[in-house]
Amino acid sequence: MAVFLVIKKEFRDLMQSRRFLMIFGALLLVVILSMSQGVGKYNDALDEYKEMTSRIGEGEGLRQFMPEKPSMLLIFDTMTSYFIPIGAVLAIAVGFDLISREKEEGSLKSLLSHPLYRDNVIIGKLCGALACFGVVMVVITFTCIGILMMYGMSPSSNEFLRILLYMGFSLVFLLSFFSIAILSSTIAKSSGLSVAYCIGIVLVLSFMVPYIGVALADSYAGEEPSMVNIIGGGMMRGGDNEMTEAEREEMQTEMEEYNREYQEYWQKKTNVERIFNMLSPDKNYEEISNKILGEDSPEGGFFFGQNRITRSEENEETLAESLSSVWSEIFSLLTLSAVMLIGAYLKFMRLDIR
Amino acid sequence: MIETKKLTKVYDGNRAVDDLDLHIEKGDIFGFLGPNGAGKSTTIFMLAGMIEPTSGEAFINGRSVTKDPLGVKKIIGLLPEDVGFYGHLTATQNLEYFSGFYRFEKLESEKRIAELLEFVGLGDVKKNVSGYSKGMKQRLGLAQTLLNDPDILFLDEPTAGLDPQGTYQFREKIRALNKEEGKTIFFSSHILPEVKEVCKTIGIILDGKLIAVGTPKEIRKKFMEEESYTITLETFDSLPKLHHEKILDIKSNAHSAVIKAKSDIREYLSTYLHKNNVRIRTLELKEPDLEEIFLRSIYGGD
Repeated sequence: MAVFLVIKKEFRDLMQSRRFLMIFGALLLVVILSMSQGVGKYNDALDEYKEMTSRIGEGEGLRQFMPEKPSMLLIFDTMTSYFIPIGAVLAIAVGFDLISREKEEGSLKSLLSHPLYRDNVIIGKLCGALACFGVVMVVITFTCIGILMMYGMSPSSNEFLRILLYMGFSLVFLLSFFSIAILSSTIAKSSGLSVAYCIGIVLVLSFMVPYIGVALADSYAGEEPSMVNIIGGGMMRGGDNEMTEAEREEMQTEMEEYNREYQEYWQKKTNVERIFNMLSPDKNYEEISNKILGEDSPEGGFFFGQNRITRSEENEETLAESLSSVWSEIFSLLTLSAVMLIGAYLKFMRLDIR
Repeated sequence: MIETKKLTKVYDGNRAVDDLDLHIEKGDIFGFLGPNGAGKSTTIFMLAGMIEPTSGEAFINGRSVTKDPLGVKKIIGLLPEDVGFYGHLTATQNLEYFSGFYRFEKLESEKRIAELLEFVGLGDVKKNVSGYSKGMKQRLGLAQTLLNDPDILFLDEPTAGLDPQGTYQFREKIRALNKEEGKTIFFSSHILPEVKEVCKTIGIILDGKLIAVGTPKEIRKKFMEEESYTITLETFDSLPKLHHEKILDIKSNAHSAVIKAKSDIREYLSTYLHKNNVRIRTLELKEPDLEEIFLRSIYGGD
């Protein structure tokens, strides 16, 4: 089968490519780095948990304040932020000259003069690259598991499943950037132009679109509700101690009203931002990863800060719940990759090879 | 045998190849001549099953190129213009990859590749193709064209960019393949002397249209019908006024004339001058060669 020959060659070429091996090495290094950071963070959280539980254990009445045991997924906390830039570079490095180099070297004409269909070439190249990314993710997964084992940690079945799923979506993330790169490579006449197109598309999708989303969200959501009047009113009334019961109730109502307005404002803002972020593969991946690893994105409301709420073993969403809450991000990440790959396929099939 | 019927390819409304009818017999070396952009490569790529025609049909040994492109690719070999290879691989590795598409036995494939590399003079070269010269790449191109021992070879501008020695060696290989192995060769070029040197039959394409086809002699004859003969005349005595129905133009002075005529009228001039007691110093015919005619017809005399 011609397509398997192409896959075999592409896979072998990529696995022997100095460029690929160097970036893969860098990726592996940051994964190890982020894991060791994560292990430290997890151990700190565990020590804190142990200390608190021992203190609470001494006083019966404090049982209700029992803290939750930190999840092992905390170890993967910083991995996504490292994985996004280097993974994107790896995927682009694999794809940006996959077609354009063949056009430049003239090897595409030689290849197509032999008995194989054009789609064998593009499908073979896609599968070869995908197989390489598969190897990358398998190595990273085994490295992560190896590090966990080295520290004597064994994830629960749920945590293990989430780790595997996280690695799976990391593979989809690599595929999404690869799809941008191969589309650029198919359109561009030279590899230099292909890099330029690729950077252009990434800048638009990963930076411009989310930035426009934030700007539009701000204008759509209107002015951020302020607490100044409520606090000011309270102070005018002489502070909490000097307020009458009626004044206190009035202030409570104002606070509730403020909270409702803020929730509404926040919801509007995040909805618009989310729509725009869905066009960005890295934002989608970040959102999906956070959910799979059990981190909640910031919610609306004054009392919720901008920081993530750290996961725990208890009160955890089921995996299905986590995935269903980011289905639109999953859908758009897959759709974006599919659109780019179909675009590359169609363009390649119509390529003027003279 | 190669046959096309009204073969046409349209790009963005432009007819790159326009109603091309060709018939090339087995064992021929067919020279496909035309200026750059005339439609030579497009025709070759259609015949090799690499570009789908907009309309018309093409057959290679009776197989339809549009209906069975893979079948056609199995019986032909194509050497594209500016042939390229995978620079990070050696010649053997490149050929091994391409030979995989023909499902040869491993041993058979290895033997064939070694023979071909020997044939093109690259048997001892072990470096990667990225270090090859243009001539070496072209020779490797010929080797990959012959991988499947094809009946028909399509060579698109195969000597373009080669030095005179490389060109000579390449022509010799082509002749040998035709003479010793009976291969039909479809050879495109924009250089007439080269085509004249190598090919038995010539087809001339201009703006996608086949404007002439035949042996070099037939082509010359066809173009000569539209050409004129130049006769240079010098005499010892004063020239009389010259009249003849075949004379197109005459530039003369007292003892010489340059005559443009539709045919060779030297016999008439000689008799006429003799009758008028004019002694002839020189009477020369300048007959345009095929290259001159070709250049005038194709490039408008530039």
